Amino acid sequence: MGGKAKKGRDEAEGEEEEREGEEEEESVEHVKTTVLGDTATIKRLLDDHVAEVLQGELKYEEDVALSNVKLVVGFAGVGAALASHVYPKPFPHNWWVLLGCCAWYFAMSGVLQFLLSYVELEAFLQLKPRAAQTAGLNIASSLPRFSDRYSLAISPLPHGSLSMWSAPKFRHVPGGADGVYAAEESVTRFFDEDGVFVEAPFADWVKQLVKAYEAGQAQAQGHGQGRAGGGGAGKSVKAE
Amino acid sequence: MEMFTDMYYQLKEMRPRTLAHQVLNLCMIVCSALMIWKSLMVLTESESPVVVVLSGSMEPAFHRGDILFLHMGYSPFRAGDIVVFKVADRDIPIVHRVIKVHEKPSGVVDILTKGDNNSVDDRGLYAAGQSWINKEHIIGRARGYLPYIGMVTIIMNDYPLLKYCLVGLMGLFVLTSKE
Repeated sequence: MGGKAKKGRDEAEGEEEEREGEEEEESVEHVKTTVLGDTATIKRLLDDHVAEVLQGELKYEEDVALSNVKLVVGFAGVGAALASHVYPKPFPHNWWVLLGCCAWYFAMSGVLQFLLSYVELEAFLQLKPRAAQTAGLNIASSLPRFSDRYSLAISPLPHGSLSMWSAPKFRHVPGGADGVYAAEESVTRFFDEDGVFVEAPFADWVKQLVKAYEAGQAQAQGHGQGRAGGGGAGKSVKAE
Repeated sequence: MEMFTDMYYQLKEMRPRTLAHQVLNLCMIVCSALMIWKSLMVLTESESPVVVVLSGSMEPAFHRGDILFLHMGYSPFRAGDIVVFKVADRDIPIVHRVIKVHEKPSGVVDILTKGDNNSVDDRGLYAAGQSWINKEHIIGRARGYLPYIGMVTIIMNDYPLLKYCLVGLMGLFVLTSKE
């Protein structure tokens, strides 16, 4: 594992030097570093990069419906809270208004919590289908707190992000529902010992998974059957 | 200092949608606190369900820095009740004990209060020309207390810069939180 990491780092260093030569205006701060062992930051960094690869290079578009619903619900609750605070009448007369605002706020808050705990789970990005695909993509990832195994999964969203509650779910134990393509890799492959992130191998790993997913979807559509993942349910792609 | 520059870059690099979600997180936290306070107001029917004792006029019962829990209650006011009331031209409510109650046939109730540790009654504290307080001046009756925890509020009020710094820091941490 150490040898592989070193090889990855040397490759990456070479590529980085090339890139730095090409883009002279890119300042040193753009090299992303993390504190190794801070799994929350690492996960966030990797998730952001997955989004970048999928939306930038592979040209998928983000499906913002669920995100919008969460924002609307959340700010509706905040609006009620503000209203209760600025309502002009002094205390005893605004008792009913306060009761209404409190009830509305707790209802909105409850809806938001429900969306987060039962619908979204570990998904962090939803994408619209591209070209010949029929279903959107739901990207979920998991990096347990003191582990170095980062798992990434792509599952289909037949009716867009709002139908997430009925779509196949990804849990970080692989072997999930039909049509879910997952890959797991140690994060040590993408960070060197100073915590510098090497983008190219990570982008390649992500693209490999996406291609496997796209191939599986195309195959499933080719069979004309509703049963996705014709190559095998819960296919796990082990990166080299 | 490095922590702040890291936070600054983190915020700058966030996609607008992610930033909107983080702002929503922050707002929800603030509003939860606000809404819990408002719910307490609704439940206790009191304008200010939790108050901090600011002066030593009720010693040895309450000391400066104690927190009091208020409830308006439905029973008539009687001598011996500890009430928190607001006088017309002052912002700060006062917590003292009721010593005299006159219930008039018209339904108006006149109340005179005095701090346990004071040597005179509160007529000097009431508005000019006012000899009694009535039910509309009273915010609530003291039902329970926590000793000394309110000192934090007193310190933050005496040094408002501390309050702004603390709240600003908390906000920054939530915006750049990783969970």
